[in-house]
Amino acid sequence: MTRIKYVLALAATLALAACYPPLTSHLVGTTAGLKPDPVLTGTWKGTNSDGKPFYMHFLQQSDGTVSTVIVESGPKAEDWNVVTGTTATLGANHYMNARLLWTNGKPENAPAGTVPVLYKLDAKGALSFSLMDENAVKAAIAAGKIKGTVEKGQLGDATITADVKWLDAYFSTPGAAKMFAAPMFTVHKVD
Amino acid sequence: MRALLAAVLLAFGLSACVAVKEPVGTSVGYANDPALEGTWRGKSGEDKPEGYYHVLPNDDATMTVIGFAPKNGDDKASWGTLSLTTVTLGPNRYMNVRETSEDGGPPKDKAASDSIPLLYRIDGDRLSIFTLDEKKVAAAIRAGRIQGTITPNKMGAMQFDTVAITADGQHLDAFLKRADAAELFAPVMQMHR
Repeated sequence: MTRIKYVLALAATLALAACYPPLTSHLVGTTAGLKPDPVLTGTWKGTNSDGKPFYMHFLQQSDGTVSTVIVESGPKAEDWNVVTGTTATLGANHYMNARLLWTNGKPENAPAGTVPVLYKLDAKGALSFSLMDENAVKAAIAAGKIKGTVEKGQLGDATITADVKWLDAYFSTPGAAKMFAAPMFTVHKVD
Repeated sequence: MRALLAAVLLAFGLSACVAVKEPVGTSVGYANDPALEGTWRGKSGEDKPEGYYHVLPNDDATMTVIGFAPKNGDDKASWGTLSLTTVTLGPNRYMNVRETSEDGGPPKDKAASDSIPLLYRIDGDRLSIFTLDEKKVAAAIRAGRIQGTITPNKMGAMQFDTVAITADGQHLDAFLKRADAAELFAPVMQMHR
């Protein structure tokens, strides 16, 4: 089980689970095409679980990845993180393959693979982020519905090891979105 | 991270930099200024969009600035980090600024890793940043007010002086403690909450 120490925004989404959220060993959206989603580009603001405001700055990189710089704000701000990712749209679902790079300026020792994050922009401009439901993924792997591995122990990490073709077909379906937990937080665009 | 350099470091004074032998405040020690904490917005030029500057305190009497410069025309969005130490000398508040990363990698401009002394003032939700003015510092050196060197340089038809304060930390701090020391600084950037 790999714990993530800090709780903040997208990193918070990764961290709020008791252990590392479900991973995929291949990128979701590979066959459909991974392209930076221009909807994300810019600055978003939200409030984390501690009640502290935070900012998310999304930057498109020349290699097709999206860097996300997440910074707490306010008088008791402490933490900042950098997440790298790729984005893809499959069916009606928007995904980011996220990987935590830095916490407070120090490199993170993230496990292999990337975390599939489902994001949705609603009609009111609220952008929400959801992680796969860990128990549902573990159950699906155990039932043979999804190819993957689960580490030993109650808090063992789950990794979906299915190939890219299967992944994209699966994550295109409405049912895939139901494998994601309720949004952990929402942000609104400020710039 | 040219855009961030432009938005932060150049605005913070690299474009008209006076070298110092030691950072400001070494003789008295550093303490983070809580008034700087939080998010500031500002731009380095009228034609540039506002950037974000998040100031977070660290436990070791340093502060980290995470800067984000939005896309501006052909300049892509960029981000970077600075390390700050802050000190109050007499009526003047100073920060030593050093670039620590650029778009997730090490600073590309070696000079940006050097510590740059800046004067700052906070008035409500306004933060004003000032950098040492080469001509004013050169005049102070010529007048014997502070120890330093003035080296004439020529680049093509352009002539300019390279100005450096060579006073040690104790003398530098004593000099910058004076109320009139602020007159050696010129405004480079104004930010707001």
